Amino acid sequence: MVQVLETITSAFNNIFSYKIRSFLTMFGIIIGIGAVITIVGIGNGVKAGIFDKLSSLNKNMFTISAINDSTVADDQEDNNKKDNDTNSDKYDSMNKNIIEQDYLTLDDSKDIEKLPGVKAVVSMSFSTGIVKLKDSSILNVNITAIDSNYNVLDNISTAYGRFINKADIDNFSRVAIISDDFSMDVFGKVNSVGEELEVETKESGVVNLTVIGVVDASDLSMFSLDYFDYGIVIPITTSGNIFLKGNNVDMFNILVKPGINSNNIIDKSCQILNLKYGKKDGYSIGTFSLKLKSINKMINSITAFVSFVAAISLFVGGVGVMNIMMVTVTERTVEIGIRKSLGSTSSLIQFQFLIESIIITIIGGILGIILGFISTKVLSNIINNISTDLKIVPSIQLSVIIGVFIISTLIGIIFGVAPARKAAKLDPVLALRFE
Amino acid sequence: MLEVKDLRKVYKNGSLEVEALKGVNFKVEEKEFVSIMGTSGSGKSTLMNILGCLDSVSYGEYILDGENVSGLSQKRLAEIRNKKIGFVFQSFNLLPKLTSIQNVELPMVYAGIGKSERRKVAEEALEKVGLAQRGKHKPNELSGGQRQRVAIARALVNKPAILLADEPTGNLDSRSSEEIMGIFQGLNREGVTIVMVTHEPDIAQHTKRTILFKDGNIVKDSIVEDQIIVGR
Ligand SMILES: Nc1ncnc2c1ncn2[C@@H]1O[C@H](COP(=O)(O)OP(=O)(O)OP(=O)(O)O)[C@@H](O)[C@H]1O
Ligand SMILES: [Mg+2]
Repeated sequence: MVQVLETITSAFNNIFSYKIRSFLTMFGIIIGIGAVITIVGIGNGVKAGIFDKLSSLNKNMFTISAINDSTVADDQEDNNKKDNDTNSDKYDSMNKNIIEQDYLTLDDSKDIEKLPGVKAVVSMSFSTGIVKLKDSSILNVNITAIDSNYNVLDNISTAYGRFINKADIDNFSRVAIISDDFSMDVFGKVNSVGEELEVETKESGVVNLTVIGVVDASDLSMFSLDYFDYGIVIPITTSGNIFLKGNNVDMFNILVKPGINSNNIIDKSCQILNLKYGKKDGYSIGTFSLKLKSINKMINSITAFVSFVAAISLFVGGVGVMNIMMVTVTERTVEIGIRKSLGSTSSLIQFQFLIESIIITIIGGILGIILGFISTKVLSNIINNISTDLKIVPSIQLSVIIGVFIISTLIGIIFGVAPARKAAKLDPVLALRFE
Repeated sequence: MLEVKDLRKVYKNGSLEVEALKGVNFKVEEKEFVSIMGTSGSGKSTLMNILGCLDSVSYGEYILDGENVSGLSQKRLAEIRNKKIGFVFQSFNLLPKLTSIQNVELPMVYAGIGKSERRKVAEEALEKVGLAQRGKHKPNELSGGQRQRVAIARALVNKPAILLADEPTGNLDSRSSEEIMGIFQGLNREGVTIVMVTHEPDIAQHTKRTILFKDGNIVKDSIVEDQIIVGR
């Protein structure tokens, strides 16, 4: 016991009396461990950030999106014509071609909404238009069309004016909601309620929209940010009219009542659509867990790849430790001879060199963890500054730190055994003759 | 105390064989003070390494304190080196990074003796060789004679059965050599058995018996007639 304790003490003394050399020896380990910690920290941060973003969505919501594929749509011509007739007086002949290509209509949304268990179906469409800013620069902006029941997804309060209501939908009102910063750039003031917004569209030329509401961009949730921040939001029927989509929409957001299995509702909604259109491959389903799964899968595979690179650098670091320890043993041949002549056993000599490499790799591991923490913090700050819509919250689990400790120790053992055995095997007589 | 019978040592370097000891017989009794002399390459160091259990025997027997050393395990040999043998080398062989007192403590570390006990014994041993004030100095802060005295203190702390010294005065001037011989004689008077290799006849003159080596054989084994006694 005394021997073991004294050996450990003398190992520490040795390491600290050659500070620079010890530091260079552990450099590879520091970098390797630092890389592992950074990868895990940032990976967790990105996951948490995306999860955060997704969880601001309703977990009991799923989406059905139309896939705009004309070859699929052609087969459905006859079916679509039926829908078309109901609103035919409101659309000119050019509309038909475009309408025929799409799957989801406002009528479908009403059918799905009637399903027991469905709380609401919010229809949305997406287009773009060109707007002239106050400084006469020209900007292509996203135009999102929503139904008046959008508030069931995310209760938005306007800073000025009002939100889109049922009457706007029914009357195909040419009205818009914009964000405060967009308002500032277009009209030179935050409160632009009542102003006319000129939007140039491919489908209908220049269109005038009356601003009815302005939202505070910094107040928006992750979910609504995508649509309202520096974009134009208009009634869904108005969009059908302007962008020649007629009764068709791009996406349903289907909100399921609490306690109802959304998979059931997905099946039933698909049944309704299949019955109408005969085919299933014209639209895609998006759910919270599906999104989360695919993102997690992506992050995990990136993490695995970078971890592999880190493992290689740890291996190289381990070889570096072995190399220096081999040199150390040769340098300290006389010391080994003296210790043996004074009664040190071979196993104690082996232990002495093994513990030295373990201490070096463990200290390297600790410094690596510190480096990893610092670089995680710095990197996540940089990423957060660059990207506006993803907030990284880096975190490192205790289990990772314990794991890193175990790995450092193992590297010390694996790469320390050979030099330690070399030391233990030295013939004391030859060692003492060595000069 | 110590006996070698027909001791042979052959070094093999590939096909090249060197017979360093060619069948040596002698006995050392308790409390003897023996010097071993002989020309360079006659096998003196080879013999000392075998007596010190640092090297193995090729043929013959070595009996130390009633125990036949040939064929013992590595672990037991380390224990014998630690407890029964005190070794003093020509080049001192102190560990440069340790202080005098830490060097002296080292054999007690391997014996498993606790810290406070080690300190006490080491301080006493340093005092005995006249270096009580130098405990905190490192070897490079000491003179050659002082270093050798630290090495002697180190060799004594575990109360060995025998003190082996291979040319202990080889690197020292005559005054320091004289001091070392005085210490050896004092120890011998207290009952320590000493076997010492030397080149210099006047150093051998300080011992009680001289064994003369030539080409791996003992050619003369005689009592020292007019022994020089230091400080008397
Ligand atoms: N490891 C070895 N391998 C081969 N030959 C060796 C080895 N060690 C010693 N010898 C040879 O054995 C012989 C005796 O050597 P040893 O060192 O015992 O002589 P010595 O009497 O101590 O000489 P010196 O007075 O110069 O110290 C020499 O011929 C030497 O070359
Ligand atoms: Mg010699």
